[in-house]
Amino acid sequence: MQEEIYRTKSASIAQCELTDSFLLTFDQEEIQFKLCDLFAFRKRIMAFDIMELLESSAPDVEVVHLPHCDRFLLLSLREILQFRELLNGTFDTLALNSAIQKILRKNVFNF
Amino acid sequence: MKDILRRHHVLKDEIVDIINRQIKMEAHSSAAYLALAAWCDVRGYDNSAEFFFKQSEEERKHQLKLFHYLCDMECDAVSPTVGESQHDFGSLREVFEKALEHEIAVSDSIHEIVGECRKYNDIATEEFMRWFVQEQIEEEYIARRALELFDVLGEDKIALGMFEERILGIEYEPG
Repeated sequence: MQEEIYRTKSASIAQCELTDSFLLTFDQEEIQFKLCDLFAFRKRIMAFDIMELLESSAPDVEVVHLPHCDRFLLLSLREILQFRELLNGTFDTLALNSAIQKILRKNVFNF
Repeated sequence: MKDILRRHHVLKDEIVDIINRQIKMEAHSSAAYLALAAWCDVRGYDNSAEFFFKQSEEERKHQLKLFHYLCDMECDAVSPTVGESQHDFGSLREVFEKALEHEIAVSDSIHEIVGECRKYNDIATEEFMRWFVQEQIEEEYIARRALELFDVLGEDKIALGMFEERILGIEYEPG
């Protein structure tokens, strides 16, 4: 069972409730992440210095390795920015869900 | 919707970062104490060297305790790089001055973590850090008492011999 967490024009992230994992759909591909892998991916995407990339004369493509599935993503600056939006939206939604669930948990022992 | 974030990522990023910083500090302290032990050892201050070898092991244990805590909470524990330690000192007293400085810096850092735990209402980590707060009271006490021995005994050769006789006997007994 999958629940969509966040969607942008080019990608989306859903969570799988059976496996406690996340599914990134991007460029007609699907990549599965455990939460710790998703955190690591976010860390890598957020670590790019956008200003430095804008001013650089090097090719406008960055390589991101995903060790948990041994894949490489070749990302343009535009795609890095889109991933930032996707991951920020995803983690904000997860945090909001956590806050809601915390309130709901108070009713678990409602006696 | 299932709360996967809460199930698998117990601590806030800010708490994880500050504990990883502490892991690095403990690793650096362990290395720094080894440098102090080496200085004492080659100059014939065998008991002082043993004191610092033990301290180095203690700091390593602190580092691992923090490291395991992050792993247990399914958070990223970062194995730290350790920078250069100071190896040159003018006297045995200066070595122990450095040890006290270290302990005070570690205490400040531990208290800062407790402050952050309170800021983010992280009761579990605050409780976990209580052991470190107590440990630092002991560590600072021992470092301070060692320095006070220099005030009492002086720093001539006979006094340094007496210092060596006493250094391994310093213990903290909470009132």
